[in-house]
This record gives sequence, C-alpha cells and structure tokens, in this order.
Amino acid sequence: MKRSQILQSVQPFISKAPTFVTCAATSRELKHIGDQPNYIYLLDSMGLAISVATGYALTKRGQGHQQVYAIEGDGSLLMNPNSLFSSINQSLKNLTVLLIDNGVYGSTGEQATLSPQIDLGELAKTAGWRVARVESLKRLTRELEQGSGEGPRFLHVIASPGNLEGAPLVLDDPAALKSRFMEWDYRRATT
Amino acid sequence: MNDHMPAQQAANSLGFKASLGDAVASMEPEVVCHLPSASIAEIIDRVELRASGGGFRVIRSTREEDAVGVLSGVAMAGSLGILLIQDNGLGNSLTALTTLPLAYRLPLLVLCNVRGGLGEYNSMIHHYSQGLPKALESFGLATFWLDRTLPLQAWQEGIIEAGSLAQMSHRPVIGMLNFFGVESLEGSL
Repeated sequence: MKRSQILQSVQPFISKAPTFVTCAATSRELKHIGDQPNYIYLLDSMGLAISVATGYALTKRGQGHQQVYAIEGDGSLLMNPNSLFSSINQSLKNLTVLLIDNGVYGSTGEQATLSPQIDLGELAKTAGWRVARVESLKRLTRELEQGSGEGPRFLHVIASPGNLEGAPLVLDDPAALKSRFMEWDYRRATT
Repeated sequence: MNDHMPAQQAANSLGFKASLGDAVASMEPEVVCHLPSASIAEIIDRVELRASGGGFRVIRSTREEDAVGVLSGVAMAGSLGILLIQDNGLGNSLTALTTLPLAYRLPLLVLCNVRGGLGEYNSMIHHYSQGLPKALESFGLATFWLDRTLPLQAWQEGIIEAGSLAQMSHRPVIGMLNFFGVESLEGSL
C-alpha cells in the first residue's frame, strides 16, 4: 500500500482531530486528498511532526478532547529520533503517531533511508511506546478504531514507495495555516 | 519566595541566577524545555523546583530543534513555552526556529547563556559565538541582551518583558544572557 492510500484510509479518524503532518509529499497528498482546518502541514522542519504534536497534546491533556495525531515518515523520523524519547516521557494518552515507513525519502527522488536496517517500531518500543506493526489498510483501520484514548501509541505502518501523481505543492502561508488551525481549535472548544 | 518580592530582595535571598528562574516561573508558562548548561544550571534547578509545585511542565530535552518543535506545539495550543539553552544550541535549531515559530508566527521565549568572548575557557567556541549575533539578525530573529552593565533587577524585568513581547508580537524572542562579570555585581548586593 502506498502513502496516499494510507492517508485516504485514515481520513475518517483524523478529519476532525488535531493532526500534525510531516513536510513535502505527505503534506501535499493529505491536502490533495482532503484538506481540513485541523491539519497543520509542516512545510519544512523535517523530523518535528511528533515534537509539535507532543507540545500540543501536552497542553491539551485532560481537557476532554480526542486524540492528537502526528503523521511522520521514516526518513523524517530518522532525522529526529529524539522526538520519540522526549515525547514518551510525557505519557500522553491523547497522542497517536502514524509512522508511514516506505523505506525511501519519497520527496527527494526516493533515495533509500536506513529504515530497512533499523526497525523503527522496535526503536519506539524500546523507548516505551505501545507499538503496533501495520501491514494492511484493514489492520490500520482496526487499530485506529480500537485504540482511541489509549495513547501514547505508535502505529508503524509499512508502506511501499511511490507518490500520488497530481498532488500540488502546498503554497499556503504558514501563518495562515496556523491561524486557520487555532480558529478551528477555538470553535471546537467553545461550541 | 513569592512572585511579587522585589527583585533585589529575591536575588539576595536566593542567589542571582535562581532569581532568574523565578522570573521564568512567574510568566506562568505551560512548558519549559531545557538542555544542560553549567552557566544556567541554577536557573534550570530553580525552574524544576518551581515546576514541582504544579502549574507547568518541564521537559529535559535531548536536542534543541526537538524542543523548538515541542514548544511550537504548545504555542499552537495557545500557551507560552520557554526554552533554556546555551547559545551554541541556537546553531542546532536555526532551521527549526525559522521554519516553525518564525514562519508560523508562534510565540516562544528562548533564554541562552552567551558562550565565547571574554571569560570563555573553550577555544573551540569563539568562532561560532562571534558570528552568532549577525546570523540571528540576518534571519530576522528578535534578540535582546542582558549583561553586567545592567542592574540585576533589570535582568528579571527584561526576561519577563521578553516573554510578553514574544506573545504580543507572535514570534520567537531570544534572550542572550551574558554572565561575564556578573559575579562581581552579585557580590555587591
């Protein structure tokens, strides 16, 4: 399964939840599949999707909101594996990480990452995350249905390389994305 | 110690650097991240102590850019985060600072002790520290400097005001704390 199929299949779970998405192809594809005001596309900042989601989830903990999602890639996580350690130390029940592991840097020409040599799920498990290895869309849906509210969770989703053709660049002003997100968050809290 | 104690009195009873930790705590941040530094160890210790009473969280970060990411998430949730590091950690986090809080217009207060220059023992760090102010300026990162030419109470007030500036201007503000010669000021309290 390709990244775009994974992003399509998780839409029912993330489309109303705060979701922080790693840069480049992942952001482009998610926006193309179904843009939402509660999606923060990290337009650069490789390796920080889990970090940003952690700060947000930490601030919102105990406020009765649903899960916070971080969508990260294997290449990006390998640039900041520290995020696994600093995040798990906060024991955030409202945080779910979706690691889409396709073994390549999909946005820069599909150069191989080190993920075939380093099991990132095992790394997360060692750090203390509750990890599920997911190799089918059916299993992914089941994990998301069953696991709500039981974070911190790390779903290690094994994917095949390949980008969605026709997904345009995300050219939004980052400040506008932030304002849109925070307005959505405010409305959610007050309605 | 209460937050309304005059700065001079606080510095006398606590020690200068610990009183700066109280200034950090008085801003009621949601999260304070820190990385190790001998020069600000007393500030970090004081912040950890104040956090242990509840009210805010402290994260012992393992890398500066990761901390910038976490505190950007705190800002997206509408709260203030503060980062305590050495200034050489700014080099690690320039991409994160410019592509996250600066680009997304998020408040963040970074307090760093200045390395290099007078009083620095480590010959390796001078090249970096000498060029840092111009680098920060060229990136459009707002900085303010505190040093021995200022009365000690101005340090507390400056730190607190910088936190307000970060929130009001929706951007990262970096406080450069130059402790060279400050010990003599502290001794004169």
